[in-house]
Amino acid sequence: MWAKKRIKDYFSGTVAVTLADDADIFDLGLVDSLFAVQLVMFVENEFSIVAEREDLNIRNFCSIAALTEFVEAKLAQRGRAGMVNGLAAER
Amino acid sequence: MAWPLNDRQREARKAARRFAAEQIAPWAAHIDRCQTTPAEVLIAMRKSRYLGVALPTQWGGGAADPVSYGLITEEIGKACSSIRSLMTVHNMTGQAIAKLGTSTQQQEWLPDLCSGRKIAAFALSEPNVGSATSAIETEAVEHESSFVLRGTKKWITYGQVADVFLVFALCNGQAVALLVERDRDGVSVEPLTEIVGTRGSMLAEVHLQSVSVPKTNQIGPVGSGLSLVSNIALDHGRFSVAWGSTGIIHACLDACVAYVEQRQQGGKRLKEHQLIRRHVTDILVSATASRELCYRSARLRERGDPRAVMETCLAKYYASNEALRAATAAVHLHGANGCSGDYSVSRYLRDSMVMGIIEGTNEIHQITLGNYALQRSYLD
Repeated sequence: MWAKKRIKDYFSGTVAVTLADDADIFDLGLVDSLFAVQLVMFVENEFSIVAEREDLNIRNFCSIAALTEFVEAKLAQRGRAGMVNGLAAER
Repeated sequence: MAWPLNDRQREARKAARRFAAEQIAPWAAHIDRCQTTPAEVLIAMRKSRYLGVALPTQWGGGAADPVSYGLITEEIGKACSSIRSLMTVHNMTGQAIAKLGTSTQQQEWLPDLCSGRKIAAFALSEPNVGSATSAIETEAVEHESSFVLRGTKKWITYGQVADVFLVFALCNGQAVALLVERDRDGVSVEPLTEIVGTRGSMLAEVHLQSVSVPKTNQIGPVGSGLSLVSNIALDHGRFSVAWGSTGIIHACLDACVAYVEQRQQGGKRLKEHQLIRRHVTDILVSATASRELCYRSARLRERGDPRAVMETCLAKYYASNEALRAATAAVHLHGANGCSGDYSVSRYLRDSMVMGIIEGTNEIHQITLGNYALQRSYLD
């Protein structure tokens, strides 16, 4: 939930309108396509994740819900990797 | 100083200044007059490793931090805007491959782009499509494991000599970005000449007549061609143009200061005339303010701050406008000499006219930056 809150805060600070979670900001014309690059930098900076080539699909960045799902999946992936690395270090 | 440089950045600027003065500046008038880039300059650029200076070290690039890259671009741009434009477009395509390419594409292209053995160009604009990129007319039709490209790309910087083009096309209404090698069947290149500025940037119209391109040449997923691939590249391009514009302003400043010292009118040196000093002052302020905005954008990029995207637009908009203003003042200050080819300020003026058009016109930037202001997400 904390990821969603940060994402919502970022959207409300940049898009300047109240958005439904599933509102497609590009389809609605609320932002231009340059905003997609900002969103990539935002998630990388805010959540310390790296958007890999396969992640850079505009569908991951088009709404609060999509971005939250993407970020939570990346964080879970990182958590699993961290756990595996931790176990390996213990051994 | 508001933006202290570290040792690496200071050294990058010093080396680029020396390189530009020795290897580029002596050719600048010739490049402008002959509307070409001589082989000697291309070889010098290759040897300098500046073509891959911002690309990852893994592939032989210099992995320059944004400030170092900006300072290098400014120095090259101060010497010759055409050569700066080579660095810009080559790195735009290189950045897109580095960020969005598959490991196979990276292995295939990045070592050659970093070394400069191959030149890359960015092919977005078309005869009927400039800033409104969503209306591109070049078509990509899927055919088994390939796309078949039909269309024409225009104003392609260094298109006359590029070995590979990053081409944007529509496939079933969705944008795709494809690496298209120059030697593919159906690719033909037509030089564009008599351009007002950056005349040595070897512009070309690139015709794509049923060019079959394997799907393995696609950069990024279908549908992300314009939103992500082109914008990641254009963001880099705007950063480069902002610094290059700052270089033009500094070139104007140097030329004017030298001229007013030696030129005599009405029994005294030009520098003794108060209205002449006003021109010099205005150019100095433009140079200083433009560089400060470029530094600010670079520092944000260094930190991965998302505001860097809009602050780069802001720097590009301001610096390119100021370059035009400074170059106009520089020509006036030189009088009739400024209108002749014997003085570099006439070239600076023509080059500066291009800066407000490339990588997004300044009119488009006014809309974008207006939205940025109204969204209140700007830096306070």
